[in-house]
Amino acid sequence: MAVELSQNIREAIADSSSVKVVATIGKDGVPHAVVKGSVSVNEQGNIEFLDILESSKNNQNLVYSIWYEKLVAIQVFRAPLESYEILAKPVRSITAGKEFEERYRQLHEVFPNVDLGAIWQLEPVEVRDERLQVRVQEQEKTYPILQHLDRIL
Amino acid sequence: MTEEINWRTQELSLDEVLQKYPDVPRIWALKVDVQRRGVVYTQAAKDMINPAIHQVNTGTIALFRTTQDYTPESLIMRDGSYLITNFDLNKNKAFREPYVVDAIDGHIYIMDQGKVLEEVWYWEKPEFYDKTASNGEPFNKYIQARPQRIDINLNQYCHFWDKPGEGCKYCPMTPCFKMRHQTEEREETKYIAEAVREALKQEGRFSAILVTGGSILSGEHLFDDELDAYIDLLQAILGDFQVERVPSQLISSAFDERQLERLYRETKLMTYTTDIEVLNKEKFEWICPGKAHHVGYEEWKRRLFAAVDVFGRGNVTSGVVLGTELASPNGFASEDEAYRHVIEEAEDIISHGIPLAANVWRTAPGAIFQNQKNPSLEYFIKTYREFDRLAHHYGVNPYTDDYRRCGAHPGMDLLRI
Repeated sequence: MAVELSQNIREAIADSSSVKVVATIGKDGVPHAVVKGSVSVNEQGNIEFLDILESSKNNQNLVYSIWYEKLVAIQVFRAPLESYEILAKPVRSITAGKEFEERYRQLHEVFPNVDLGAIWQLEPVEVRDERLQVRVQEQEKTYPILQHLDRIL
Repeated sequence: MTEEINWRTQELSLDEVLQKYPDVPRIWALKVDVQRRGVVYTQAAKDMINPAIHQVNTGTIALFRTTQDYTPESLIMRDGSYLITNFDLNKNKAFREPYVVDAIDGHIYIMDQGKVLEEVWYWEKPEFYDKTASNGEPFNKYIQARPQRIDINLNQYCHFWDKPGEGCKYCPMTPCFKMRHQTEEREETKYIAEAVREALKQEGRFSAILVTGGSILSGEHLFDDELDAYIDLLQAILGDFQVERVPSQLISSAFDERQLERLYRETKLMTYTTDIEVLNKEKFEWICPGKAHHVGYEEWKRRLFAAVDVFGRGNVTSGVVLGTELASPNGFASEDEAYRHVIEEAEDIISHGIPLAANVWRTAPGAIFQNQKNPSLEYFIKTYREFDRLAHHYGVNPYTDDYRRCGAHPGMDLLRI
């Protein structure tokens, strides 16, 4: 079930200083994570990014994920403490057509010496607020047993 | 359209095949079945065609078709792979109902028995399709396009058909040539080269060039004239590239070592393909009598293996028309028997570093086998699955024949993961 990304998350994603990490698994079950500066939110509210290398492990794992309905994790971190995890389902890989060619040209304006493998589109299905203070409060409320005694003496 | 009334009860359905082989992806199995059964388009789907954007069958030449209707040339799937559907259906003897491409709320879907199965998109035509060469002829008279590949069919007639009864029985190319009353076998190289230069102006559109055509037997030695024609063309279209080898593929007759050396030395061609077509000597001799008579199965294979020494491991592939080995009356008696023979032979070829690009055999109108029935979905899935295991095992990956440069060999898609 798709979820809508909040304005805060959209802004964090759009901020060029934020760090976006895409984590996938493949057929072998081995996790793989890669920093993706091109992560954005498209008009449909889906996550979108470019995969430059067609032969990359990331691309291979995304194909595995779209074929077998596996989720992908996208971590967004913006200094000083903003952090979100988006779980998303790959819904489309664009490998040709006007949209592909437009992104190909845009990419070349920034990186003239690289190719474009695919544009990947992913539908967000779950969002977790990973800010430390939020996660600490959540744990103290849900699992009061999980803490050192000296902190509550 | 005449189908066998109870065909759905006579073989495993897509869902049943997926239950039996749960390790294969559903979207991929559907793709195989669409190639096997074919598609028809509803009026709503045809209304989704924008002729200014999309590539349609009426907008290009049809080497392998007896008819050209106003339908999308082919489809793109959500996994970024291409689903080739630009083939004729034998409407007089279809055996099975084709899948339906329909439009719902502005989206296009593959459907079966009223059930939505997959969203698809139409191929977009390249910019050169709306332009003309210096002689005023449309560029797409000389070259055609897939979403990421330039296609050049140099010789549109195959000379294995010169002697009655020697043409490959599944192939409609030369029968279609005759039905069109075409007389010129080949277009001029200079206009083909002009068209390629124009096509390459479109940034991001093309990542490969395919050159192929019918066999030419003449010359001092067998296929020498064919080789000369390809070298002339490849020099004209690849010469301007500033690299030693251009991402390109030639699918030709089986050249001998001397011819292969010339091809490699005199052009910037990167990969070479010669199609063994049928993975069994006895069935090959029945189905491809011209190839058998002029070259022979074992010699075709030997030349294929020799090509690896010239072009390098990973740069030689061979095409197979998977399923013809079950044609009647001389094909294998059962799918199990065919599977055993085909896999044994496939391993011999793949183990030499030559991946197999296998088409789903469709009974094309015009071909000698036009009224045959192709095998079950299970046969294709099971065989492709084993080809994939062998390709992974021997570490070969035919990028030129893959999901996006070609799209006609669904088995290749499995190598994406």
